[in-house]
Amino acid sequence: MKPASIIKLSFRNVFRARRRSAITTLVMAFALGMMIIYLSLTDGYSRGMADNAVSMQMGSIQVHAPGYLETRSVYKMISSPDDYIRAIDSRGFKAVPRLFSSGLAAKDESSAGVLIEGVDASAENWAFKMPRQLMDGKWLDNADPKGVVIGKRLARSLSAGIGDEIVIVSQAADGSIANDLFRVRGILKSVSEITDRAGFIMPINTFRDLMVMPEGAHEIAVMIPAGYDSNIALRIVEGICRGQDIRSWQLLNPALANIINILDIVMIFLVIITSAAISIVILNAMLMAVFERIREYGMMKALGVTPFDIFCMVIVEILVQAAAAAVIGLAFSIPLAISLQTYGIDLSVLVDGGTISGVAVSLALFSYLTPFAVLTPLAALFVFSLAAGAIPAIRAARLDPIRAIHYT
Amino acid sequence: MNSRRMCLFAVMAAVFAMLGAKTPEAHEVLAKQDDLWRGTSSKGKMVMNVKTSNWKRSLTMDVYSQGKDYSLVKVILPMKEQGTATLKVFDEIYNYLPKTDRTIKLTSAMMMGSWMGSHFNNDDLVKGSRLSEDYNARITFQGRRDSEDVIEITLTPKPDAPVVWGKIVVVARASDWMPVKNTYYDEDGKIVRIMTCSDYKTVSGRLVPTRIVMSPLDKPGEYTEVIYSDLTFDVSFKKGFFSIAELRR
Repeated sequence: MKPASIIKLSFRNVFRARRRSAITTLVMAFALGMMIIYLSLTDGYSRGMADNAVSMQMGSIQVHAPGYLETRSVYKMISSPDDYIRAIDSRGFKAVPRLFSSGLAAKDESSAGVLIEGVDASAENWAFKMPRQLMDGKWLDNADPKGVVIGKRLARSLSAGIGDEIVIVSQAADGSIANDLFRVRGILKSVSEITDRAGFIMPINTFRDLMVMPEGAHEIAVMIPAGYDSNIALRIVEGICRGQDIRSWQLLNPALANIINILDIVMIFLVIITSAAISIVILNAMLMAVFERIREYGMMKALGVTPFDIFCMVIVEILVQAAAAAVIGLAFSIPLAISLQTYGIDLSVLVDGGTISGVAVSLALFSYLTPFAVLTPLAALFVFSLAAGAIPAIRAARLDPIRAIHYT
Repeated sequence: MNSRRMCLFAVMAAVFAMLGAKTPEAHEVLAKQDDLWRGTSSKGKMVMNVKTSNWKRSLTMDVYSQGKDYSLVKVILPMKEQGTATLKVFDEIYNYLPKTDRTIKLTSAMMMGSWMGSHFNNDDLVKGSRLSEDYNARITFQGRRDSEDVIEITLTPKPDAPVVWGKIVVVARASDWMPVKNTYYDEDGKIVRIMTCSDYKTVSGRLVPTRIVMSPLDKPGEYTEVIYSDLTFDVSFKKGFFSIAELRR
């Protein structure tokens, strides 16, 4: 039989049982569309999580003195951070210096252990999102040296509100007792596990005076422009900060990087499971179709149509429905996924904010449409449809013409 | 000051526990230590020299104590920290910071924090006089060591006792029960720090060690040395002397 005749007969067969074909096609289209939207939402979620972690305060790359991350010793400092920062900034990145120390914060009868952070107020605002993550009050101002910003859980544990005074006690770098009175200027929303629980952030010069650390930095956090190759950026920073400990965010927060990798694997599994479920629907519909046409196939075979032609006829019938499903599925899912890239889904009505791997979770779910999110479900749809269709197609091809003609 | 008393109480506590062992030596040590320290009040000066790998500093302080439960330490020098004070009332510790004119009460979570930047921690101030409650003790050595007759007492934590040390080995002079050395072990049996007592002097008819050195083993070359001077015993303090209000005076 000519291929054109096979295609013509297949098309005719599709339209013979219109309702069944329509239902099968629509189920396939719906499943394809849902998979595309789910994949783009999951991808958007994991990218959002990584972006949130990086742009909130961690940075794409961090520079420390060798050994600082292992010991967190206040004496392991980058000695001339300004030179590095200037060089990094000149490459189009954003670099900020930070100083850290632990201490004790007390207000009235309450006290809590805190992580004291000295930051460049304006540079942080320029490079990172955290200065705009305020639940209450304002971000730091270099002109207000005693005004501090604290984590939300710390504020709760100290019962501290905007304008309240908090005493800090720590040990300065020269061994003396560092202590001073600060005023709460701002309270952060959920930023990260450690900042929420113990973050006590002050202007860098205030920190230097308090802790007797006139120079140096414990950390330089670097933000690279969106879309910039992170490996190239890492090599550039390594070239600038020779001899320092330079790490990408994936190394700094491996748990988060792992979660994102696991989400990718989960996505593949979901596509397989959904496609397998759809293939059962197709198998059922095509078995019905073949069952109804047993006598017809017997007649065709008696007239000299080869088993292969009959096999192809059933397969083409499935391909026609899969192609129609692909058109319908893509037509509704792609515009929806694109609009979710802009508008997102607000989850705040369903869940409270929290952190995953120490990173605040965004409560808006945005999609991110990639070729992977479209092509993977599409390929799976055709592969699984053909696999499911092969069973009834083989059965039809193997029919004995005499028995088939007399089938009742 | 507590570190001095701590040294002695460690011995005393060991002795307390040794009562159970029904050894006459233990009973004698107990009685002697008990008579020496129970209910004693004292005042004096203390110089604390702290050396770490990054800095060295010296603090001069006035020290007042009454029994096991009350003590007050005020910084005189350096000027920058003058007036900084620590008050211990039973198990509670308050720190007064003159720069901010605030008093901070330490919570139980802060007990392992360093006291005044030294190698002593806040827990030493509180639990130094409570070893007998938390540890079982037995004499593990009696004889000559480093050309001196000593008694070695090993303290092991009682079940469920809220303690930080896996074991404490207390060495006292056999002749007069004066504390010589305390060795603190972690739960893995590793030595964490060593405290030595020396320069025994008779003050107001009592023999006491006037120099105590605490050395952490994980930080070689670091130590805190406490030297007492102008000690007076059996001082009478006015009512309310050991109070938060007194911290600010």
